[in-house]
Amino acid sequence: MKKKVKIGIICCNYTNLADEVDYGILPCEVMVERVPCGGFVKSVNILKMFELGADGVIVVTCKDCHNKEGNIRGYKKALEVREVVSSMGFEPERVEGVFVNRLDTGEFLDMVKKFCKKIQELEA
Amino acid sequence: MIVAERKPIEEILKFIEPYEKILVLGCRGCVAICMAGGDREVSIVAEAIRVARKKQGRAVEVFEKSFVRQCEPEFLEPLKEWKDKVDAVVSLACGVGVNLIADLYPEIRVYPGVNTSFYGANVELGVWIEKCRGCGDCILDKTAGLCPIARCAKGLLNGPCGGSQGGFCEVRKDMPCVWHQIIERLKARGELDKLLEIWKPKDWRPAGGDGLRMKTISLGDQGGGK
Repeated sequence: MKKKVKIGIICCNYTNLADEVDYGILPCEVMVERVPCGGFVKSVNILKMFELGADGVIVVTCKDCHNKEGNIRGYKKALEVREVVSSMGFEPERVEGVFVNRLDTGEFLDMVKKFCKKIQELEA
Repeated sequence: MIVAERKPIEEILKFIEPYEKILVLGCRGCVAICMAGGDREVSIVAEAIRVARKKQGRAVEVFEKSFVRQCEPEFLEPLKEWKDKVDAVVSLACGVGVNLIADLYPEIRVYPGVNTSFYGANVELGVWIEKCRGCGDCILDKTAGLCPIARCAKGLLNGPCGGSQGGFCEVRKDMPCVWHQIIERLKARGELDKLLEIWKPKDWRPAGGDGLRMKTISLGDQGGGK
């Protein structure tokens, strides 16, 4: 039987309105950390998700950040951790930074599903 | 300030391979400003060690700590408490800090967590550029304040060389030729004749050629008076 992968999601609070029901229909287990803005994403928290058992972590920020560049800052943190995990022997694809439209829960869930599929392929 | 870069995690993991209790020690001086060894980087390195060991299925206990500076003995005093608690220390300070820990606490296994790179200026957000090489015999008075030792790829004292093209260096096309800049600046000030003077051969002893460099001051030199 295929192992159910565990995904860490760190997202700006304004990217989605997803709740437990939405997460329940995903083909993977999720750990979610909502932050007030992409600029609030901490590299160490991305790594912590791996320590807590995540197989991959996705950082989701807004396409248009109302704090000007918090989305870029969050994305850069994902890139930084990508480099760290890759030097630890993990596949760099296990960390991803993506942008979605503000409060577009559908797009957010699509991104998570896509990421989940990618991690399932890595785990296979 | 001293500019450093964090070593790849892979390299740090190799240093601490045999040990189970690790202290990741940050420095809140220069390396914190250039984002190589401050509190933020301490937490990243510590967490990366935990994740890597979890992946290997090996136990590890990682402690996180930062000192105000690691280049002065009094700031390293609290390290005494750690010497029996940990198997190894990964210092994220510049080479000065690592050396001072090794000098003061020979019983501690200390490993560098950063590569100490250069003396540089923080010219814009996230960008540091080398400006000085600490050669100990400053000639900036003759070169309009621009240092050819640090900023010329060849460290020339009589540039520009034939490779300078359109004001840029032949070694790296994005790097301005500092000798071109020196000449332009002196010309604008009407001080180009400064370069007609024959300089004595540069004394490289203060750059380290004369052994370990030291500075001592007597109490009378410190100001403050009686």
